[in-house]
Amino acid sequence: MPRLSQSQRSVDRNISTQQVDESHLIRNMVKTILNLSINKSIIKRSEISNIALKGDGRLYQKLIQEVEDILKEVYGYQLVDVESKGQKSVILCSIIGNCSLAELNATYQQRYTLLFLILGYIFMKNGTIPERMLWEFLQTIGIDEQQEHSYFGDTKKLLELFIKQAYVMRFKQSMEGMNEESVFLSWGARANHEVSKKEILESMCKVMNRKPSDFKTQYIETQDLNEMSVDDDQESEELE
Amino acid sequence: MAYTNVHRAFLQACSNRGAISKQQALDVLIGIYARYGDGDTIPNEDDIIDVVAKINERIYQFDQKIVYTHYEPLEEDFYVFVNLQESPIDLQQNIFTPQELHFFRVLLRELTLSEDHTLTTIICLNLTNDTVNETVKPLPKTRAEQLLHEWSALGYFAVLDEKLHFGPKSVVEFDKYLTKNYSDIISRCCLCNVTIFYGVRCASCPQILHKDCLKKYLRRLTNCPACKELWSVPI
Repeated sequence: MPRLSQSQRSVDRNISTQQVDESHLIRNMVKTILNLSINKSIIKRSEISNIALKGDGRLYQKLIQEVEDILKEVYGYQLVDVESKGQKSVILCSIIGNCSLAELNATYQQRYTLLFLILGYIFMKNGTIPERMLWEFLQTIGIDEQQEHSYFGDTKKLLELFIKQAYVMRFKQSMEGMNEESVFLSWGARANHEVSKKEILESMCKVMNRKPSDFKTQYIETQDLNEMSVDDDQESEELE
Repeated sequence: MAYTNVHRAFLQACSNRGAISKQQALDVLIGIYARYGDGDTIPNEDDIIDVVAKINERIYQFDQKIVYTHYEPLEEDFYVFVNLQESPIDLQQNIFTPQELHFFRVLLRELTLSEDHTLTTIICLNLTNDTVNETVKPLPKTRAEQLLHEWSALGYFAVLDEKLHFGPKSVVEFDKYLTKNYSDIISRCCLCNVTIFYGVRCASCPQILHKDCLKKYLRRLTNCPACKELWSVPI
C-alpha cells in the first residue's frame, strides 16, 4: 500500500509541476505576442514558439486557446490567423472600436488620416483597385508618390508599412487581354477586423458632401450586420 | 466594479501612449465612458484611480503596471505604463534596430552623468558618434532627430527649455537600473527617500529635494533638512 501512494504522490507532483510550467509558458506567450505587436506587424507562429516556448512548436496548439482568452479578456485584443508568405502567422487586432486619436500612439495619430483615405478610396471603389489607381487618386488631393508630403512624409513608405501591418493587402492577378500580371490593393485582415466600414463611409460622405445611402453597394455592406441582428430579434419574438 | 471594455480601452490607451498626464488621462477616460460606460456618468479623477487599480490587478502577472507618478520638471502628475521585469522575453521588441537601442542607452548614460541631468539637442545629435565599435557607422542625424521625437512622444524623454530631460516614463521604468549602476551619482530626496533626478538644490550643500517635499517641510521649519543651514533658495 505505501508504494502505491508514493507513486500516486509523484504522479500528482508531476501533474502540478506541469500545470505550473504551462502557466509560465502561457504568460511567456502572452508577453511575446504583446511585445511583437507594438508595431502591429504580422507575427509568425514559429517566432512565437521560438521565443516563448523554447522552440517547442507542439505546445503552441495546446496552449494557444488560453492565450487568446487572456488577450481578449484582459487586454481587449483578438488574435487573428493570417497567411503570410506561406507561413502560418497571426496579427493582434484591437476589439475596442471607434477610439479617439488621443488613445493612439503619437506617431500613429498622424498616419491614420492617410490610412483612412486609402481604405476609404478602396472601399468606395468596391473593395479592389489596381495600385496605379490609388496613386492617381492621391495625386488629385496633393499627395505625390515620388515626393515627400509636408504632413504625411514619405507616403510610398507608409503604404508599404500599412501592407506590412495587414491594413492593406497587395496581390497580383492576371487580367484578361493583358500579358503581365497587374498589382491590386484591397483591405487587409487587420482593416477587416479593426476598421468600421460604417465609419469610413460616413467620413467619405462628409468629404464629398453626400449621404451614406447615396452609395447603395457600400451602404448595404455597412448595414449587413445591423439587418442580421434585427432579423434575429424578430425570429425570437415569433417563437414566443 | 466589474472588469469591462472601459478597463480594456483605457489599458490599450496607456500602453499605446506610454505616458499620459492626469488631464489627458481624464479626457481619454471621459471619451471611453461615453462609448462603454453605463448610463450618463462622467468620470472624475478618482474614477481614474479605480480603473487603474482594477487594471493593475489583471496585468500584474504579466509584469506590467500603470504607475501614478509626479513629474517634477513639469510639476504635473502622469500615468505611466511600465514593464517591471527585464528578462530577455520582456526586452523582446522589433521596432528599433540594435544601433538605435545603443543610441538610446548612450542618451540615458549621458543624461545621468550630466550635472543637472539635461542635454542640449546639439549634444544629443553629436552623441550619434558614440557607436558600439569603430566598424559601425553612426546613425544619420535626421534619424536621430526622428528618434528623439518618437521617444519623447512615448514619455522616455522630454524637451524642456530646448534641453533633453528624462521623461516621466524613464523616471519610473529606469529608476532601479540607474540607481544600481550609478549609485554614486543618483541620490534620494532625504525627506521622502525616493530617487530624485530633478528638484530644488540647497545653496549651501549638494542636497537636492523634491519641490513638494520641501514646501511641506518649510511650513514648519526654516532650514535645510540635510545641512541645517538657513534655507535661502526661493521656490
